[in-house]
Amino acid sequence: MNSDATTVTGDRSSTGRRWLNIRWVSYVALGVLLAIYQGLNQAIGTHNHFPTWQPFVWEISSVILVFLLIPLIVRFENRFRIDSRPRTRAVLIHIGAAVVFSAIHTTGMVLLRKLAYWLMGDSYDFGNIPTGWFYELQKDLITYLVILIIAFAIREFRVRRAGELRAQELAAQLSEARLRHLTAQIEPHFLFNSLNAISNRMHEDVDAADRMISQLGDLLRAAYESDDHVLVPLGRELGWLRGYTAMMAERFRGQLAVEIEVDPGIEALQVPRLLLQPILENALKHGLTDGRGWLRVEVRREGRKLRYTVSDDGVGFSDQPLVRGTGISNIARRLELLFPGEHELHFSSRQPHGAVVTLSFPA
Amino acid sequence: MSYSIVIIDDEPPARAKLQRFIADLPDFRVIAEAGNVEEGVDALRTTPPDVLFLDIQLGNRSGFEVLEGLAPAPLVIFTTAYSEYAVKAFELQALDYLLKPFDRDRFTRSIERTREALKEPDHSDVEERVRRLLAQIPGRPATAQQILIKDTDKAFFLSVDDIQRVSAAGNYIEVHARGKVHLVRDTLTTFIAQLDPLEFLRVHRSHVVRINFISEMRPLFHGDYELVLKDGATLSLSRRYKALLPPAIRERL
Repeated sequence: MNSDATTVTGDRSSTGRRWLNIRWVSYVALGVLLAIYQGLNQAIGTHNHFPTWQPFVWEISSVILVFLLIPLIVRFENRFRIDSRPRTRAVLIHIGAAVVFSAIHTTGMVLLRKLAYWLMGDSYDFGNIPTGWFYELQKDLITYLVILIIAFAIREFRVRRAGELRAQELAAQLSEARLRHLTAQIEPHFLFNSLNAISNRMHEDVDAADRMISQLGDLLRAAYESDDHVLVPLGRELGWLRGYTAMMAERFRGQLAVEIEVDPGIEALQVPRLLLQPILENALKHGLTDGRGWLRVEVRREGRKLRYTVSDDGVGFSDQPLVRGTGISNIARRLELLFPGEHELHFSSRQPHGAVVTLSFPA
Repeated sequence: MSYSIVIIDDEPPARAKLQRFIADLPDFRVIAEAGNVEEGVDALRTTPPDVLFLDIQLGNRSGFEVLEGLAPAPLVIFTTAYSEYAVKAFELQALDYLLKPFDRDRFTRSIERTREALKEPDHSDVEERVRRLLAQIPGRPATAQQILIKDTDKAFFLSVDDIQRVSAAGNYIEVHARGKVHLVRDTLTTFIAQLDPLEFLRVHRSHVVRINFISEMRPLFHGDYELVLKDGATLSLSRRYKALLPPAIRERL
């Protein structure tokens, strides 16, 4: 799950870089299209009075300057945001910036036109300079305001989307953490009782004590697994199961019989980690009330689903209303988080006594 | 002469380990072992031991259950794998316990302490510690509201609220209630098993007093005290029992 999340993030950033390039190409294309459109408009409106190339030069020169200045305006707006306080200061700053924008736009535009006219063997006349500048200023104030509003809208949209993405990520992390928390760990009672049993066994049979130590080691490893995957291969889960039941059989030697049956060839299926632990703990706790009993674990594949069946010959569920321990309700919540609507968890009593817990989920 | 031991633990290896350690002791012998509450209760009733090694978790039941109503109680050494709650309770009541896994040194220290305790002729203060411990265990049945008293000539119910103190007098006990004294043929230990240990304090091997019936505590020599009750009677309070008083009471008096 963790590594998946990393992959997704990686994809997103490389998509972002590609997107950035596409964005610049479309920006330039938009500018070119707008210039051609404006030029056509002017050419149609004035074709009786001017050569056709001249209206195109006027509009293209204007659009080139505006499109060169837009990134600077966006950056400037980021520095002095129009929604910042005090509001008067923001308004004054942007009025000033609009006048500067207009001055640069008009000057640059006129220089470009003079260059184009000269190339065409003609000469460009701007006419009365103050009148021309004032005429351009009126149009430029509106252009500047439109650019500001679009920049502001895009930024707000991005901020909001980033917030939503973060909220989604947090929700994912939360359910991940919840799952990890719900995954049972080794009970101190189990650990210390096992150590006590080993400390006795080594006086009777050193090899058996050795086996118990390595089984306990496997169990501790499973509990402290650092990669903390929510799903693990069934084979690993079975390793834990065999270690756990072997340790219990040793601790209740001569009093507890354990059978484990697993369909062949399904060890690679992905299953929730340590899902069986609370069920086994429960079965052994109630199944061994008088210190004697048997326990049977079946793992079967049924189509797309995997089915665990845990039965014991203990007190069963019939004599008391079913009280779900925290371990059992954790399983129910984990299954619900992992396989919403696709899992089953079922408790029943055996005759004459004992309990059966079955659970299935897609694997 | 050797002291008798009963072992109650649900795990065979845990019992085997205690058996092995005890086998090396010349002055102790195991007379019975049990793996669950019923067997344990049976063993303690048919062959009451001097010492009991008791696992506090027997399957899904509590080892404390075997101690309920047991009189006289043996010296108990609790064995536990892990239970913060129980360990705190033992420490509070100064009861001996072994944390599993334990080694021979730790076991030997426990046995030495037990030898000292067994030499004392009077174990009533240890009984009192166990009684207090049991009172702190959650989910315990409520104590009686009324107690059947068989006086010399009649039998009647006495409201527990009326009882002010109970004292041993040979083969009888005196139940002091609302200024009257009822003579009952019973032992103090069995009688007070019916009373709430947090309300009735054992202040002496022969005296049990309701907490709010004590009015004053006067120091005597050698750390012993004298309790003055609200009806003017005085009882001696030995050092061993003074240590058993709840701290709130010790400080208030």
